[in-house]
Amino acid sequence: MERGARAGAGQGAGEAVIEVRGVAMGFGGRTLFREVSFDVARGEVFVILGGSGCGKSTLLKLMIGLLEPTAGEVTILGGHLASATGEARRNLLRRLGVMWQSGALFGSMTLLENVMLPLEAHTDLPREARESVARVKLGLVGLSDAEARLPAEISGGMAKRAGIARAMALDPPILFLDEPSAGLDPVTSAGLDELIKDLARDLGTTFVVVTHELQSILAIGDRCIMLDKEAQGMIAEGDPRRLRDEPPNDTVRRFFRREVA
Amino acid sequence: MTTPDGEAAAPAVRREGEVLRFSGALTSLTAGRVWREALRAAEGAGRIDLSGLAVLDTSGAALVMAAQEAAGGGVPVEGASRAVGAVLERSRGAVRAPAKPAAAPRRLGLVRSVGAWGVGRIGSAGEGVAFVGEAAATVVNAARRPRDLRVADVLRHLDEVGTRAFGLVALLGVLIGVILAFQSSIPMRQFGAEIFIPRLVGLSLLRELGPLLAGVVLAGRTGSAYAAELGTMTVNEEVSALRIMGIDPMVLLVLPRLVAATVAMPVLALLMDLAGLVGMGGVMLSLGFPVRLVLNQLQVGVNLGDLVGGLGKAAVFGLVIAGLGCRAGLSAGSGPRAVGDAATSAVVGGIVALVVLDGIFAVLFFRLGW
Repeated sequence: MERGARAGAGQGAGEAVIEVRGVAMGFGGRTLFREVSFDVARGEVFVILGGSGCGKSTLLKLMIGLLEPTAGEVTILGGHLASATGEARRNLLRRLGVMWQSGALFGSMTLLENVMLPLEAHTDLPREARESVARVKLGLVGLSDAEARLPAEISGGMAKRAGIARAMALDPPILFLDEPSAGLDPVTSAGLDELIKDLARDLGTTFVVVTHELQSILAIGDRCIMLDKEAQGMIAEGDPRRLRDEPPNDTVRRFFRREVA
Repeated sequence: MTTPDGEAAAPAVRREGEVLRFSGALTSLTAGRVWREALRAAEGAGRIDLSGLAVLDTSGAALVMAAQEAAGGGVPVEGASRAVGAVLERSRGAVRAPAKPAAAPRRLGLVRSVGAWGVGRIGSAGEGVAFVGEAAATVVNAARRPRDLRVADVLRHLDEVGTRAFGLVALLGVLIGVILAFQSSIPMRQFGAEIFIPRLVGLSLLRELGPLLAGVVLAGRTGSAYAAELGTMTVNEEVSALRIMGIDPMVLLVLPRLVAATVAMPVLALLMDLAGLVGMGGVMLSLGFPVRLVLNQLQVGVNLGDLVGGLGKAAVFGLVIAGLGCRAGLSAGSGPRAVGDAATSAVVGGIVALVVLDGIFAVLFFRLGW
């Protein structure tokens, strides 16, 4: 199926929207990973996977410019978020959306107000228009009936979906999702996977997903990289189903077969 | 035409007869420019033409749907490319999705609101009484079995409540002493009664202001800290975890804090008294009264009962303020505001309780002839 209006109207899939080159990161003299290089192509669902503590979420923070790598560089939509300032930084930021592991919704605002917040900061939409747009986003994640609720009044799965709705508020071409399935029951988790696939297909959004949930990886991932704590870096790259069927090394095989080392 | 994520081409909306035409890029960043114009132009339109639309995202789709609504509902939308049509269809589906009306909070009438508030207050007062009972039982049990009291925790809290507040209390005490002495010297000079300033300031400080101001410091510094600390633990379900592990939070969390505040408060009040007297002494010296005369006046005007009564009050203030702080923390709700609300409630409740208790003590001391 044709990707959504964005891809259909402009450049096609395949072009790299994120380029990570020779990135290294560590804390307090300890190397977390080094020499990590990969591209994320427009419109794909790209998964960063690996065991706990291998640096998946840190790599995501490097990609969105919250952390600076100790070596290497990240180019996102042609810019460098870590060094960009002023209007250039704002321009880059409004073309990204991030769903945080816990949802990171603002507790004093309803779900509708949470989604309206980026629209207020970055667009000149009048209030009633912001409300209409925010309702569409909440509808896209199946939360139309919860728009007036506060984050404290909804479940973990709903908070994650509301987090996605807020991340999508500006229809950014790239969405980063940090552990979208963690802590969810299998049915909710599968629903979230469906949502990600639908949005990627219908809206042409590029997804970068950090997860270690095997079923999600296989369900949504077009391509993935795998980080490893012991190897302090990337140990595999490619189609997750292919990595499962033809693992290039023991660590990847153990990961996909859930074997104890 | 635009790049998908580059600066979008300007959107345009045009009414031609019964046709409303959208063109350019209609995205979250551009839709605001034509939103109101489009809704105005849509009134009475017979169909909507999207053939000129190069880019549409879900925000733009919201505008197309709003225009369709403004045109009277079921007017046809034509000319969309496959990609634009897909986004529009997806957005339509989202808005159509189980559209239970948002559960708006039910508004209560004035009488019902007052009633609901009253019932809430009564419930809260009941919980307060239960907390006092629980705390009292915990203290009595700890007196019977002193090894239940975690001495290391008490010492840590004594340091936080007491020694770390010494600087602030001493500074406030000196300043209050100076202000009291200086302000009272002005009217007393008219009667040649400046010599009585040490008695006035000494009595005020020892009986009232020393314990009261030390209590305000305790409520602001320690009551709020207790509420925030225990509130965070409650929000993070650490308190529930303790209960499930069979550990009584009253013993582990509340008792050390109550003991520390009750012990530290008289010390803080004493420090406040002494610092205030030093400040007063400085003013008296500057007015030309020798130290011996000031001390003599203090000996005549102030007795040990004044000091002990003040320090006793301070101990009760400490117990109550710490109890209120702990209760506010343990009864914190959920969500990020809960901790802030608990801290506010601890400080406000602490200061109000301080003044009420001081009034009760004043009546009590008067009746007892102290």
